[in-house]
Formats: sequence, C-alpha cells, structure tokens
Amino acid sequence: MNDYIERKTSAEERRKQRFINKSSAVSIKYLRKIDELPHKPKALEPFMNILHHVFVDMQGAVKPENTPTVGTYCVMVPQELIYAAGAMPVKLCGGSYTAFNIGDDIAPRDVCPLVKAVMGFQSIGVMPVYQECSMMAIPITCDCKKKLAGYLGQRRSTVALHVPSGRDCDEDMEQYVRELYLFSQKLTELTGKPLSYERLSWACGLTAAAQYELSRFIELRRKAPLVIKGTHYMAVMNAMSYTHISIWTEYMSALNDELEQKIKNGEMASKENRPRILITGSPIVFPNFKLPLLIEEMGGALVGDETCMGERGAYDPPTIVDRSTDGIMRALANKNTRPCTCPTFTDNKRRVYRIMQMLKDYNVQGVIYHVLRGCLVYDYEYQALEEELGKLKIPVIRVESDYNEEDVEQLRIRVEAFIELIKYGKG
Amino acid sequence: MKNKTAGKILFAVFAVALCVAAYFAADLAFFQYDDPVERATLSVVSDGEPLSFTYDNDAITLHGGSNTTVYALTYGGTSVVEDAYTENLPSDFAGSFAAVQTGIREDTNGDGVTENVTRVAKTDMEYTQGYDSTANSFLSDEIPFEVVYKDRESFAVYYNSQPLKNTDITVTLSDGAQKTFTTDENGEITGLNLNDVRSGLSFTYYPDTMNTYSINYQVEADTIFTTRWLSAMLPFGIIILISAVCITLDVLLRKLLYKKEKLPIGKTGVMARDKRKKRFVFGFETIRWIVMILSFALLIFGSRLTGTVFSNVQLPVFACPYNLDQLTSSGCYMLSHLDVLVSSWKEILAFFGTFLVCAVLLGRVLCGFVCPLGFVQDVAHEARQALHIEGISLNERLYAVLRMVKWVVLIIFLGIGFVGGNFCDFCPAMALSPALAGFKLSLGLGGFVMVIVLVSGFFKRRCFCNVCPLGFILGLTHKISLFKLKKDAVACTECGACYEACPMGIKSVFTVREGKGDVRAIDVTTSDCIMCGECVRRCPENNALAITFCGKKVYNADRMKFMKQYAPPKRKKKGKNHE
Repeated sequence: MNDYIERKTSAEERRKQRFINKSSAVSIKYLRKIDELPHKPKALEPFMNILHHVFVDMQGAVKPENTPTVGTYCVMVPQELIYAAGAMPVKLCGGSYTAFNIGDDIAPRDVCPLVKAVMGFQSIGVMPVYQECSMMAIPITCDCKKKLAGYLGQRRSTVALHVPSGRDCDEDMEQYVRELYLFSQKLTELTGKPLSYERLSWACGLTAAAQYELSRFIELRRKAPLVIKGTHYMAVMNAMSYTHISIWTEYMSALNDELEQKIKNGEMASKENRPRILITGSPIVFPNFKLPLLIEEMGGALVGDETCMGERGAYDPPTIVDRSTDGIMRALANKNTRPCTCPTFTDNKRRVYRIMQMLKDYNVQGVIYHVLRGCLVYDYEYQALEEELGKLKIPVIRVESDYNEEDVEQLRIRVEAFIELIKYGKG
Repeated sequence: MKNKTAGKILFAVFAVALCVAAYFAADLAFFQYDDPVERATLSVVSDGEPLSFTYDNDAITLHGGSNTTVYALTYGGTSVVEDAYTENLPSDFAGSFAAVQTGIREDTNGDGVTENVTRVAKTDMEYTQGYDSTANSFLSDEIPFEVVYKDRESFAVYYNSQPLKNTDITVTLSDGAQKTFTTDENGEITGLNLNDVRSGLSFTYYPDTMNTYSINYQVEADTIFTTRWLSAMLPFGIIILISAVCITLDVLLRKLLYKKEKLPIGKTGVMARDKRKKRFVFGFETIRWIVMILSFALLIFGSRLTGTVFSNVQLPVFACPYNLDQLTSSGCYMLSHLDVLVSSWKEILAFFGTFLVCAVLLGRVLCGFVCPLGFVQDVAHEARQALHIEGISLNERLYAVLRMVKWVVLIIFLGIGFVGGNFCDFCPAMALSPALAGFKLSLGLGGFVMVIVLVSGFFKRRCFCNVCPLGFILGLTHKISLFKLKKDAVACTECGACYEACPMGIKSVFTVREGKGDVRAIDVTTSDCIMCGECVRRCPENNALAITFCGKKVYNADRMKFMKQYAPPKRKKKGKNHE
C-alpha cells in the first residue's frame, strides 16, 4: 500500500491522498468517541455504519443503485420534490475540519466554517458524496450561502432557490411555489421524469413515513427525555443526510422499537440528576461533534437540539390539504419556509417560541447557544433569546467555535462551568 | 394607483349589476314549470266511494261526486266550478277546491237516530302550502264546515265560518283508525302526524243528535322516488349537468393555458390515481361528516321521516322554506323578508328566540355542520379531491374581493324585500332542498347562482360560504359564542397549514402570536370561522390549536394523530413478531 502511494508522482495526487487520510482519521476519532459513550442502543449501529461508510470508507451516499443524487444545502429544499423526480437528496453542509482548512485558503477570513468546508470539499474533489452529485440545490439564505451558490455555480450544475425573507405575506409564499416549479423543471431535465401527482404523492408518503418514525421518536423522548444520549441522536439525524429516506426509516423504526422497550424496562441512558441541556444555534455537522460530546462528557444530558442538521432538518411534515399537484407544491413550499426557524428570515419570533416549547417538552434546565465563527445571523438572535430565557430563569451561554480542535479545551472549561452552575447554582 | 381605481370602478359596476339582477331575479328564469292552474285538471266521478279528492300527477279527481257542488278558491272569493274541466277553472284560481254534498240522511254514529249528514271534501294543491300561517281558507256560507291546514302544524276548524272552540272532533285516518281531538281556544287541533295528513284524513263534528258534518281533507303531497319526484328533480339535474360542463371546460382551458406557459403546472392527468393507501383515521372530521349528512337528511326529508315539524324553531341556515318537508322552519326567510316580519308576534319571537340561542350556543357551527348548502359544497370539494384536479388557491387579495362581494350580497339579502324584490328568487338554496324533497319549484336567477355555487365550490372549498350573508350575521356573535378556537402560540411553529386548510381564508389563525391573555390560549375565533375543524386536523403540533366548548377542549391538535395516516401498514404485524 505504501509503495503504491510513493509511486504517485503528482503533488496534486499526494495532496488528495493526504486529505483522505487526514479526514478519515478525524472521522474515525469522532465515530469512536460517539461509539464509546455508554448506553448506546443496539439499533444505532446502522447509523454509525452509514457515517463510517461515507466519511471513512469514502463511499457515496447510501442509496439504491442508479439513483442520481442532488446535493442540497439548508432545510428549505423540499426533499419530496427530488424523490419525486427519481433522484435522491444529500445534505452537503460540511463539518469536516480537513476540508475547512482547504476552504480557509479560498474563502475570506470571516466566512463561516461550514461554507469553507463545503468550498474545500469542492476544491479538493475527492469526497464521493460530493463528487457524485448530478446537481446542487442551494437556497439563498444567508450571505455565505449566496456566495457559495455563485462559487458552485461556476463549477457544477447548480440551482439557486430564492427563499423569501419574510413569510407572513401570501406573495412570498407564491413566489417560493414558483421557485419550486422551476426547480422541479430542472430536476425533470436531469432525470427525465416529469412532475406528476402520482410521483409527488408517492414521494410525500416516503418522507412522511420517515417523519412518522421521527414523530414517534420525539414522542418517546417527550415521555422520557433521557432515554437516549443526545449525541447519539445527532448522529442519527446526521446519518439521514446521506441515506435514502426509506432505508433510514427502517433503521429508525428499529431504533424506536428498541427505545420503547427500554422505556418499558426503565433503562435510561443518563442518570436522572444530570443537568438537562438543549443545544441551539448553528448546525452541528458530523464530524464537528465536539460540543455535544463535551456536554455528555462533562456530565450533562443533551436532551434536545434545535439545529438544522438535527431535529429541525426533518421535523415539519408536509400538510397536504389539497390533493392535487399544485396543492402538494404549495404544501411543500409552506413546510419548507414557514415553520423554519432559520434566522435568515426577517421575523423570527417563532424561534423563541419553538425553543420555549422544547424547554417545556424536554424539561430542559439550561441552553447552550452554539455559534459558528462568522455565522452572523445566529449570533444576531442570541440577544433576543437570552432576554426571553431570562424571564423564564433558564441559564443560557453562547459558545462560539470554529472547525478545529484548538478550542476544545477552552470549550470544555466553559461547558463544565455551565453544567456546574446548573447542578449546584440553584442550591 | 391607476390599477386600483380601475378595479374599484369594475367592482362598483359588478355590485350594481348584481343588485339589479337580484331585483329582477324572478324574471331571469332558469327553469319554469307550467303554471299550476294550467296544469291542473279536475274530473268528478261517481264511483260510490266516500267524497274525497285524489291526485294522479296533475289530474285531480273527486270521488263519490254525485249531488255535489264543487267550489274553487279564487283571489276574489269562492266561486263555483260549473263543469269539471280545466277550461272552466277560474283564471285567478288560488289552488284549493272544496266539494259539498248535502241532503244525505244516514245514521253515522250508530245511535239509532238518522241524522242530516253534510259531507265536505277539501284539497290544497302543493304550491299553495306556502310559508305563512294564513293558509288557504274559503270561509264562505256555502261551505258550512271547514278545516284549514296551517303551517304544517295545526288544523283550524270552522263551523259556519266561525272557529269551533273547545269542541270534540273525531278524526278518521286513512287506515280507518279513529281519534278524538278537542279544539283549543282558537279552534285549532294540533298533534296530528304529518304523514297521516299526507295520506288524507277526515274530520267529523256532531253539533247535535240531528246533524253530522264531516270533511275529508287531502293535501297534494308527492311521493319520493316516483316519476313525479324525478320531474321535480329536473332543474337540479340540469344545474348539476351545467356545472359539470363548466368544470370540464375550465379544466381543459387551464391545460391549454399551461401548455403555452412552460411551467409543468397542470401537466398531471386529470384523473390521476393515488395508489398509496391512506389510513382511515376516525376523528372530528368523521363526526362532522356524519352530522352533516344527518342534518342534510333531516332538513330535507325531516318531517317525512319523523312525522312532525318544529315550526317554532327557525334555524338560521340556508334550508329552503319552500321545502315543506323539512324538520324546522328556516330563519333565512325571515331575515330576507324583514318587511313582512311584523306579521305575527309569535313568529317574531320564535325567530329571534331561535336566532339568539343558535348564535350564542352554536354560532357558525351551524354553517360547518348543519347547512345543506355547505354540505353540497363540501361534496363538490371532495369530488375534486378524488379526481385530483387542481383548485384555485386564494390569497389575501382575492379574499378581500370576496369580502366586498359579501357586503353586496348582505345588502341584497336584507334590503331587497323593502324595495319590492324577493331574495328567494335569487337564492341558490331554492334549487336544492325543495327539489330533493320533490316539490316542483320554478327557479329564477337562483338556478344560475346555484351553478356558480357548485362550480366555485368545486374549485375553491366553500366559496359561497365566504360571501354568505346569513353566515355573516350568525358570525357577528362570535365573541360571546360558546364554541371557540384557541391557539397556543408557543406550541405553534407557524407552518401555515391551518391557513392553507381554512376554507374561509382566516389568516389570523396562522399569524397571531400575542393575545390579550395567556400566549398559550389565545382566542383566535373570528366572525368567519365555521368551526369545521380543518385547521386543527391539519395542525401537526401537539395542542397548538384546539376547539373549545365552554372552555373545555373538544378537539385538539395532535402530532401523532396527524402522522398516523402515514404510519406504515405493516407496523402491527411487526409488533406481534417482536412479542
């Protein structure tokens, strides 16, 4: 094997190999850390395998043969539309430290690490998940995503979805419906399958089945917030991004069955006295799992997350009111923008409410507000949230981090202090 | 700016045109039956049967008609029908016949004394059984003993044109059973089963041992599911046919338009089939449909099914009062004929009493659950859902236009009586319920309006309800109504599903974030809300929306219930395997 590498002459090739080695080393490390957390449900194994398959074995997305993949960013891209066209969506928001380092050279300093990672992946061109995508769909949300759309547009076949910045007006909605029609047209050009009621309805059934399992999971967790470690759950949600939804649904169903059994037997993943913590803010993408891992390592229980690679990513089901093509399109446009708590929208009272609801549902004692360096919009909303949570007397800290491991120790101290505060502060 | 002015002018023209059309609604005939006088023929046969009238379609036969004089009621008074032929019916015939047979000596009550017997037969034709308490009565000297069928509820008994008070009257039903009734202060008999009346009955009065008076009374009553009924259904059938044609044309036209535009909208086959099996989930919606079907049946065939009529209940829904078989009276008639409201205090009290009780207790729940016109629109909507045809989704601007139309219709509804028009000729409900119950009614503009209601209801759920004047009046009391729609703004993710689902386009359900009191129970009931529960059904968040009655939650949003329809079919088997 080593001989083989040495024989490579081109510097570019060597660089790529180095990337693969480094990035899979980081992935292995974090997978191991997740794996080593106690009380891991048996049914978590398939999800871990998916992450292993994508990030360590460097294979493509987990899907049936001959299904083209469409790379998506943010939660505003309706997956149903892509499934209906006979393709498969893959969420490509990157969390790789290695790719971030490459992207750091291309992008300006203040760009958020997530976008830098994506740009790094694009520039190095070795990750099959990224490379096999026949098309990229980027909603124009924050400034970084806007520029990313431009960057990718020059290199790949890219569709930019213009997301309205407000949501209460009907015109905004209609504009996004139109945007989706244009998107579906592009998809039809890609796969040759025209938009039809049957296919859309079938695709909605597909995702709804997954959402049914997710709802079951949420319901279980509402009953017993400590039944599964938050980090494990985040791994499950991250695995969803790289898996065909029907496969994921099966795995999820098995996981739910196991958790149900565990609740019956009273086997909880954490002790009752652990401070229950909710994480919110910028997305936490595998392998950037340092924050959830730190929370669990420092004796906290991560009971919920309000991030777009977590629960939020698949939380809202399409509400098909009108059983016709247009009705489904409207439902999709609705569910992908209106309930979204992304801070790129101008009004976002619903995010505060959403978090308040989660505090109640999961019986949360503290909130950690995760901000990726350069993620302005999330940073912006911290103040409002802090104020509201102050009224409810729920402690909250803002944790800023970047895609590297240099700040782990610093974070550890802060998270530890926060957990101690919740544990002993009240007495 | 220019566009707005043009729009305003256009709307004003439309409003004026609508008012004018409503005023001349009776002249803009949609379907005209022959004049009842012209279609009626009367023949007299002496077949030895007791003196009575029978109906065979439009032919009226007087049986046992020897030694009788036949009288017809005209607007000028009582007139004698010389020979029993159509041509000889008086031109201002008012739809009632009476036949008097005198000079019979018989022992009818079996006491051994032979009495002087006077036999009378009376009949009222269908179209005279109108919606007023002063029914057709001769009250002339020629007819010594008479009964008047009032309001489908009571019989007033007259002897020599004077009410017979506190007297025993023997009633013989068509099957021979005899009952004795005592008339009240006003000389009225109540408590007779409607279906007995329908099959004909006779009243006998013994003033003294020497005289006997009896009257056979027969109303023209249709039997459901006969050729007669089919002919009554004819205009409604035509309406459905025209609506179907309109819908087909619309769909084809839209396909053509979309072809030019290159968006893939509307490319779906019209008859797309959904192979995915959806789970049936029993819920509020099911209950609503059951209630709707029940009330539809009761408001159309009610008195036929139960044999009674509650004329003191004036239910404020669009159930046509021209349908005499409905279980209750209709408040819509009173509201649209405010000019004649002052006719009887009893009726005014009945009307306002029912109205207040309905408004406070139920409010627009009546619209969502009871109104037959709403039911028909819901059926049209379901038909579109089954065919997967694209509808018309309204936005705020279009709803605002509908709201303006509602004001115009409201003005017509309340005011047309005062200027000499009749709202009933304009009303779409007139094409529906009387036809189904088998009453032949000529339709004015209302027939066309019904086509519009059906077509618009097909493409936009409950479109007419958005402009319904009666519903608007009912909705005015929503603040004190006992049914409320409550929203938990915190649990709500503002996904807009409720707004999308709402047939009335109530946006505040979706946008309200802060209320007067608790944010977890904001009252979002508006005057438009018909309590159909669609928003709650489509709400995927636990407890985010709820319908409450007296503060108690009746119907609650539930995520698992929402998701259940997507649950995998194999789940149960799997569960068994695990065990």
